Amino acid sequence: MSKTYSEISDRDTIANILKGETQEYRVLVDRYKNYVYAIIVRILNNNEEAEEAAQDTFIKCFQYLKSFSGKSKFSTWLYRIAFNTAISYKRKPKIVVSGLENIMHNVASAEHDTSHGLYQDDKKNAIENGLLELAPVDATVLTLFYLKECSMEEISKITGIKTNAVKVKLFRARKKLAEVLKNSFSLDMETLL
Amino acid sequence: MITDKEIQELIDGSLTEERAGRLRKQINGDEVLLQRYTVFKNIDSVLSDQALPETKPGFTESVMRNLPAAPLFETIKPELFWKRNLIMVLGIIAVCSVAAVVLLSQFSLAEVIPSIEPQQIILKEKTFTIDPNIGFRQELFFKGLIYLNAFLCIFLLEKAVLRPFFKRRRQQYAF
Repeated sequence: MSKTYSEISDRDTIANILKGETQEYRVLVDRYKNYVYAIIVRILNNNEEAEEAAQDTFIKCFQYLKSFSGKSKFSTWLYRIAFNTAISYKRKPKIVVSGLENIMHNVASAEHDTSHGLYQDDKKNAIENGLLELAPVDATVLTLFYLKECSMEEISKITGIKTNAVKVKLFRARKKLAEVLKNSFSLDMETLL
Repeated sequence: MITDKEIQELIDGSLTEERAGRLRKQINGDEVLLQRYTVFKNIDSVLSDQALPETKPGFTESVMRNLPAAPLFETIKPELFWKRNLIMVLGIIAVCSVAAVVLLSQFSLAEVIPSIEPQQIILKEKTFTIDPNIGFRQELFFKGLIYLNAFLCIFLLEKAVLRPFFKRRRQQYAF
């Protein structure tokens, strides 16, 4: 069975780490940090917390590296840990203090809302804001699907949802996104198109 | 009537060539359909073009600094999970059974529940007398009740706690 370059490379790297060359873990962190961060930030909607959760994910992944059986892709296994870590962060009670970054984001959004007409950037922002209104799991399914790395089966393994349910969630998430866009902006469709 | 699901499948490219061709034709000939299609197409293209968010500089160094010296844990392989569950359940059964036997050997049931007559059962203030020919054995009856309770406890513990716990761990780390 043929294997892709990145798969072989991941496995070689893991084999080296397990032999004691722990510094090689840096390669895996560099390769996947942005993907892991993308999954987590979609669930937590908070950059600071997402950064912390992403670090936790990589540390957990290292600790349990001996458990990686190699039956699935390393990235699938890693994203699964990222997903679970993000969900457990989401369940933690939070102190309601908005970071400066979030305040700035809200101010920017408010300024945005007062402007008339939607241009290319507005359309992008509108969809970004729509994503925030989705349930965390739905948003994760969308993110994983559009990362172009994950098949439906892999998304199913990562989220622990059956493949058919993943398809339904994907459909519903995009439909909801379309509805959110229509409702929250009450613009004439021509502008959105 | 073309559904939103079909429009999304067309955009994802998961329809057959023939079906996709027919759908495109219908969409091009209907303005309302074209609007619905364009909304979904816009969502698709914005999501596809989304740049991957980036972690702050120094992320990798921070992870490497906080790593333990070597990978620590090795979770039990999935094929061994049922063995561990079985051992735990057998252990619990053994503990419950020994506890029940010790309890019954230390205390007489007549002392614990003096109001019960050996040949009578009281239900809703009505007394039912058991035919002496049946030979009702109170001790056996109560022992049976205790074992039944112990079995139910283990069954519920396994269903409600052990199985979900190990299933979650298996899904989390070992596939």
